[in-house]
Amino acid sequence: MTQLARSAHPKQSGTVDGGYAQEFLTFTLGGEEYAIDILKVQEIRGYDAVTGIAHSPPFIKGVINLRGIIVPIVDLRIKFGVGVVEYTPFTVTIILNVGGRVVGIVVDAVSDVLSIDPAQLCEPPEFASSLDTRYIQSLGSIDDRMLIVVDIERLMLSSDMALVENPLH
Amino acid sequence: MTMDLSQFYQVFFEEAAEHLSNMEQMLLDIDLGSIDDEEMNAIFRAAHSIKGSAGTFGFHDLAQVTHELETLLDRVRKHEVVMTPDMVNASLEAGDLLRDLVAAHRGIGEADLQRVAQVCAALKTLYSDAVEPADAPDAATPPPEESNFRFSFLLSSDRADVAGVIENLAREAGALGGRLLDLSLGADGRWHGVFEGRVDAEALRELVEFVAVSDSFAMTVPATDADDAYGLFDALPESSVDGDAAWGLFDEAAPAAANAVDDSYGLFDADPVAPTADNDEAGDPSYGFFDSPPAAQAAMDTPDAAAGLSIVSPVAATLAESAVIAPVEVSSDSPKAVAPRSVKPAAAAETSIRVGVDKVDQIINLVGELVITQAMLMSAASKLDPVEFERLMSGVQQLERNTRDLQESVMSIRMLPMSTVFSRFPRVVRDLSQKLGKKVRLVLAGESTELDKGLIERIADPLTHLVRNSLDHGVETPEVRVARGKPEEGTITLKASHQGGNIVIEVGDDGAGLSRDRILSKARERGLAVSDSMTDQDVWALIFEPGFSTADQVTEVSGRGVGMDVVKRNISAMGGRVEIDSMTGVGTRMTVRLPLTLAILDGMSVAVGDETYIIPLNYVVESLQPAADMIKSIGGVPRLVQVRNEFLNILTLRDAFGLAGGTTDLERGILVVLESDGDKIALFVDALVGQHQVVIKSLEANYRKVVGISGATIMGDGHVGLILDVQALVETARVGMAVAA
Repeated sequence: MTQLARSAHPKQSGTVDGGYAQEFLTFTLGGEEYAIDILKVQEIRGYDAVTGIAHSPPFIKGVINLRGIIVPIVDLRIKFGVGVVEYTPFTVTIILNVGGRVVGIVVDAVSDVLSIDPAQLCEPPEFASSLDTRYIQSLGSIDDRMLIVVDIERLMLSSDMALVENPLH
Repeated sequence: MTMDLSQFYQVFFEEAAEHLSNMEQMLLDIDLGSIDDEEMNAIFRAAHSIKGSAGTFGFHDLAQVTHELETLLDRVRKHEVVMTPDMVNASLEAGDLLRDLVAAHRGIGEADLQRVAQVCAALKTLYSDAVEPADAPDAATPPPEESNFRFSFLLSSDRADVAGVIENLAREAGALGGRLLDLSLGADGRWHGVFEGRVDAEALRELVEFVAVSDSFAMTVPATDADDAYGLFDALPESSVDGDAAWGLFDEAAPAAANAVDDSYGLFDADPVAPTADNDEAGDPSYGFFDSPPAAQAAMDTPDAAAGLSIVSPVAATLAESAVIAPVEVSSDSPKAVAPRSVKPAAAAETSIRVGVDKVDQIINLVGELVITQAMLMSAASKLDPVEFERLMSGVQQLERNTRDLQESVMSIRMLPMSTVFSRFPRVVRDLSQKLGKKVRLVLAGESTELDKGLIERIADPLTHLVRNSLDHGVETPEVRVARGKPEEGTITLKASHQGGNIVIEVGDDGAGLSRDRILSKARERGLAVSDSMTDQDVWALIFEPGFSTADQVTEVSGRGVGMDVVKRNISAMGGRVEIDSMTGVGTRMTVRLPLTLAILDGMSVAVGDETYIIPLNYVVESLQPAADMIKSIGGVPRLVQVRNEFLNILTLRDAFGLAGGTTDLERGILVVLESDGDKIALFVDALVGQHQVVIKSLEANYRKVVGISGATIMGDGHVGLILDVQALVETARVGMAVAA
């Protein structure tokens, strides 16, 4: 139940497409490091017991009660097929606010809030993986580490996630 | 100066809608035989208010239509023309047009300019061609005669340039076709003057009110007219000697006369207790309203108070005249009707607040949270020693009581009386019965029964359909009715009442009733599985089948067989159901049962493995622990359970939802018998957990629709509980495939 941080503070003046640095929340799934736009993050909390929903895909763990709102929880480790799926007291749920909806994603750990310069980002090459390249915004290199910047809104509202009735794509 | 008016548009739209529905209501209530002046005034005021604000906001089409409507109503009001059924129809049509125009300005639909022109033209024809009143030719106002009006008013204090204003006034009066004489400032601070020329009182009043303190204008009848008034009013010269108190009033000598008139007409208020109330009433632009002497006097004593306007116009005088001539005719119902009606609007305005629905919903959500928190506290406290923590326990109990009360009162905010829906039906019935050439009386009952706003909005269409259906198929034509020995006029009854946790709305008619044979033969024609041994209930239920219509011919109103199935679907979607009772030749009654609110439901919680599900209690018939001999298998699979004389399908929730935990041994669990749309199934679960009121939360807000689940709620321990969609489950069991398929 511990609420680790409350973010979504828009103090950063940079715009998404402008030449300014943009802030990202980075988290790990297995050995991979991912980044998402911090403005999409509502809060970060520990993993709660969920109520399972019949006939949902395995990566949709179920729904939780977030202060009176029913929020679906997606385990990205299952969706992306990375890491070991186990729920420990350190497992983290990132609550996102995408397209007017509140959705939670389960990740192994949240690492950092990074301010990344557009110069540090590059287009991803075409490849086939469990994560469709459509949802990869760009790849970033920070101190020899590779950061996968995910267009989380696009991903969450896509038909792949089966989270919404009328998916965007 | 420019100002952004758009922020006020919403208020205007809402007010206009209110005025329009009031106006329609009053127009429908009008008894053409004896039109109540107060009613006519109220209708006029509604139109006038719309015109005023429409003009302010620059909705010229609205203003144009209301102007014509207002002109017509004004002439009726002043007894210059007699209200005819055509005028009522035209006014109603204008009302419809206005409603559409308002909608168009809101961005719904398009304004039909051609219709605007048509309606305006129709109204114009009506008020210009209108015949002189036949029953009271004396009462018709002759063209204003050359006469002297005496008037007085208080000049607005913010007018610095007094001389300029007076000069302007004189010039404007000239434009009206008269002259201002002797305009001078009296000792009482009021301006007195005489207007000479042809003018109607209203025009002069409007002219003067432009510069005067609002409602301070008073005017007296031309001396000649007063003389004509059968000596009821003292002649003016004496009045002026009396000083200000007598300006525009009945003289002290009047009471006897006023009493006499009061008995006959009811517009004169001679009640000695009334004066205080009268001041307020008179402040309302009281067209043709006569004040009692004490009240008016009080008003004049305090000229600053925006009260005490009384006009004794030529029209009013003639009114009084005709009243004296025929005192018996008019006295029937007006005296008692006038006073309460004029007081009511003021009271209503003070006791209600317009609040956005979203705000109310937010409060309801918060209270829902509070209820959950309270339940969590309750369950935590129940583990404590009641002796040691006595005070905590009593506090928790009190909290429970208070939250329940709070929840009830908050829920009641969303409740609206059924009259908000019922009020549309007089119009529907009137229009439709005219079109169909039937005579129908609509009886409304239980209009004050309250229902959740969300349901009110959604029940309106299905109810309209049922009423139209009753009118078209149920009630016979007058000739047929007479031939069958029934009164010529049919009756449609709309009745709302509370029964337990439900609201019950009945639509009944005393028409032909449903024909069992016709429905059965029609059903066979359509290839439905029917038999002659079906119960009446089952036969009647057939009319809810899609595309089912027994109407001999397709009319404009109904007969296409689209509708009853939609009615049923809509009502089911609201968690309600429809039942039909009918007797051939006697009538039909459709009964709609709805839950009181959509936000909270009574639920039974059941467990399967680790999961808990909520079943809406109104679907639960019974629950039982099956004995081995009750379970019958077909093809080696236990599928049916025998409950008394019925064989019910068994649906195992564990399998239906593909759950891992839970028992499959039928004898170790519980069967819950559920009924939906007359079909029953036995739902197999592990155990019954309890019964609670749950706050319904949307699963679709952040997720999507899940088959077999109608919503979610938050349980006492903070976990999410899913509410079963019983209709879908029953459907599943009947079709005989898993939900997953």
